[in-house]
Amino acid sequence: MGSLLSKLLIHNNLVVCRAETKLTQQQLAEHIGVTRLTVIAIEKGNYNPSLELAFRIAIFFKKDIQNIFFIQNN
Amino acid sequence: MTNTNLFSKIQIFISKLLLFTSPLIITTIFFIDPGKTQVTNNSSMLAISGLILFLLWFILLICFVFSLLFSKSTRTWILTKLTCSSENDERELQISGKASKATFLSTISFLLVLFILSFISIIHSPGEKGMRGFIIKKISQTTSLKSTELATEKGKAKAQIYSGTKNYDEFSVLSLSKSNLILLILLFHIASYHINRRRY
Repeated sequence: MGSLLSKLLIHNNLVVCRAETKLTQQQLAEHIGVTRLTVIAIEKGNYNPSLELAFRIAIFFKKDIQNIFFIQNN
Repeated sequence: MTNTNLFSKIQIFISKLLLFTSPLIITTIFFIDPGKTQVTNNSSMLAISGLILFLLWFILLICFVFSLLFSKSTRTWILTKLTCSSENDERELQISGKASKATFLSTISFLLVLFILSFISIIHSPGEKGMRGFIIKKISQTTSLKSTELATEKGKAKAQIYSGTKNYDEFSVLSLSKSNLILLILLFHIASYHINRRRY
């Protein structure tokens, strides 16, 4: 796992979750209360959502939060 | 709570009134010089009412800018619209925070540059090409209300030593008027914020 002080690389499978529910980025953004640009940034890995937003996404997709957001081992 | 709501409504009304009437007033100012306008017995009612409206507008403007200083809600609402900054969700809030910090540091740097430049004057001898010399004004001269040292005999003698001539012109490196300087700093600050927002 490495040192806890080093930057954690958080990945997500938001694209897969969105494809399963056949939602567009705009629709997902409206449901979870963010802008489309934020959804794009999360999917690309350019932005890590806050804990609240991560839980909101998990609740929306009816999945466990760790099934959507995970740390990839180096 | 009722008083606060009423006060907010009044502020919003004044800000919208100023927003819609300002282009007309400013355009009128360009064509009519208020300094040359005199109210006499023969002045038409239109001219007198125009002057009264202008005075009312100016008083409203003064009250409005002071309310920006003291009212956080008005300041947030007005200036976010004027500077086209938006914070629709947590990501934009984070970006706005990072951009604000970067803008704060870059504006301080810009102000430091202007501050240093304000101490420098260039001596130029008319009829001769190129810069003859420069004088770094003393801090006391720059901050005092008295005339510069060059206006005194002692200052002229010093200038002669630097320039080597008896005829000279002095040019301040920072030769902008106060209004233009403040406007420049404002525009720099706003531009810096938007550039930093795009970067993040």
